Amino acid sequence: MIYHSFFIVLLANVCLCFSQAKNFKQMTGSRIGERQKVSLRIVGYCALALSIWLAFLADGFVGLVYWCGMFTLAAVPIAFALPYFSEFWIERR
Amino acid sequence: MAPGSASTLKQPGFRQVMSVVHTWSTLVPIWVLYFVFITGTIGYFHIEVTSWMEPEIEHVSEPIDEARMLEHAQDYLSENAGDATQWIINFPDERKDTARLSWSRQLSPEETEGLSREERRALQAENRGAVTLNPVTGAIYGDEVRDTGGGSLLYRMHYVLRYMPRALGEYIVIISTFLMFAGLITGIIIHKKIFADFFTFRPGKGQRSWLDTHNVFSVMTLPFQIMITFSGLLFYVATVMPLVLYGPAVTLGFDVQNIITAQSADDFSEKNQELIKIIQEDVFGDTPIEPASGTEAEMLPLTQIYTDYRSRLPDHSIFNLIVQNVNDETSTATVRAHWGINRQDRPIDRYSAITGELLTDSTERQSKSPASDVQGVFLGLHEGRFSPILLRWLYFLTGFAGAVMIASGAILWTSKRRQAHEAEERRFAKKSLGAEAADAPRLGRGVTFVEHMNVATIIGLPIGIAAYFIANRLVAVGIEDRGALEADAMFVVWGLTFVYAALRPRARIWSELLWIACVSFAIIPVVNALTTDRHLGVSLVQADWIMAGFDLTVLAIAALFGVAGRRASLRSQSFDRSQNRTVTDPSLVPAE
Repeated sequence: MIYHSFFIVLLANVCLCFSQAKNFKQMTGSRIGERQKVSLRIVGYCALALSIWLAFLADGFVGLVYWCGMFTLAAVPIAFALPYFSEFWIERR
Repeated sequence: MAPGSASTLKQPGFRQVMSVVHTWSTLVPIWVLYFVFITGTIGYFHIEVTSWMEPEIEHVSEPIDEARMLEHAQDYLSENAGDATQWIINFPDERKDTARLSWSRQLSPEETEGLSREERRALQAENRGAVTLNPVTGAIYGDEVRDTGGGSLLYRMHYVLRYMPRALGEYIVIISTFLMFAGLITGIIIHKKIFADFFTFRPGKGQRSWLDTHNVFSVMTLPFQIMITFSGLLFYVATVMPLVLYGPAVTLGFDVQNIITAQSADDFSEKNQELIKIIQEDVFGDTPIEPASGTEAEMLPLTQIYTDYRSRLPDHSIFNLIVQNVNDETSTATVRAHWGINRQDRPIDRYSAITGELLTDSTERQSKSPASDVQGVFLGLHEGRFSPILLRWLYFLTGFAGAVMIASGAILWTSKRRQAHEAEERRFAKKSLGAEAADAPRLGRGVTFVEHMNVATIIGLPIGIAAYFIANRLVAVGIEDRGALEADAMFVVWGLTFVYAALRPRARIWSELLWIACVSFAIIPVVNALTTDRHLGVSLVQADWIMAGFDLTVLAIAALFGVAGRRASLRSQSFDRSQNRTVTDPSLVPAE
């Protein structure tokens, strides 16, 4: 269940990253609409909550310690990959 | 009103003040903090590192029968340490596949009378011993195992440093930790767009890229950083605030002077021992260990106690079994389980080693107090002893991220200062090449010194650590105080990186030291293969994941340094090209 929690926290971070106007523009080249922004945020925060719940179910309070580590492990690569990935994405388009 | 008069000068805002506090509170102890973070992060794997550094102890691939292991242990200890006061049998677990047996004999007041502290310590050391036991075959590893500081020495360095009195090292770490805690809080205050910039990283933009790196690693690891610094301070609560410990002790009637001067709990005065006994019984419901009566009695086989423990608590993983007052009618066997998340609340069960009667039942134990639980959870989180292997890796990576946060902060500071200095230099050069311009380079000496210190600390420390591992394989086995020699090798090599950084051109130091770090880590498995038969080719085949994991990890670290070295080389080449253009472009030469 810890692994499920990791993939969900990864999904949450991707959604929350895309819900930021500048990150969305960086990746797609277009402005984010209000509806898209809200939808991405809702999915992102729900996924975050779900991942915490799953981590807690998996290992109690130790699961929450797992979750903090997994959150970092999911978020840091997104931040560092984003500029390079967006260059690659824009070139392809 | 004249511009610049008192009423028009703007007072610095709250955030600006906090920014200054953030800069200086973290900058002053930055190299100590980096050292503490790197050695502390390795400490999460200190048992595995020690296993790698003792290659004479063979890997055990067969399933371990704990009862059989206890039989081997009791046989050995009865034969070789029958006159000891205490036996400690550390059980194998998922992190180490051997058992550690140690014993000690308590010195009588007659034996220690008139001895100095050093003489007393030396005598105590003579009356102690330890060996490693193969839990399956019962084979004993004694003097043939190389003397090494192992991972424990690195771990210890993160809170007492090295080459200085313990108290001084502790105080330096405490003050640095406190300053870092202040830095974290002020960092949160000054970071205006903490959520908007959450995923922001702009590469190839010099100072801005370093700021982004610093922010990303700080914000994303913030819960860990706050927990680790706050709990680090909690470890030293009695040192920093002695009244917390001694105030209640005085109220309860303790002889505080005796507590301070006692070398160990055994040295407590009669009055203090009596009070501790009362508190143990009345507050914690614990049965205190009686002093040895001097009447010999035959102890039960320890397997009998183990069997009873397992029937009561089948799921608990045992950390160790301690026998007190060996072969005395007051003998006890205490079974201590592994730590949970609350460090103060691990299950401890005590039996009479003569009758097998259960004296202290951990299942009936109640929480000491909410304050103690809070402290226990923080200390438990700091040490991460409860962590399974996956969580331990997460601890390792987050600790490493903390080190990157500190390193990027240090680089950011020098990068800002250098930019300001270069702008000033350009201004001087535009004016003339007169006296003012001649004075200008002096402004940069401090910044240059800090830059050299930065690179020699940030890259030099890992090179020193690689030297520590290589020294473990190259220093002859059997040399006296060999473990200290390994540590000396680490600090000598680290010191040499400072000299190297001071002698090389600024543009090349980073790339060269990064390449040296890459090579240093890459040759560790090679040296291991040349000096032992526990190399990757063997450890992977035998599924010896401790040895293989270490070798693969250092190779991964070497690869990381290689990638960083390649990028730094490209930057230094482009810097060289830009310098050449600057010299040949006549328009850039200032007019006389």
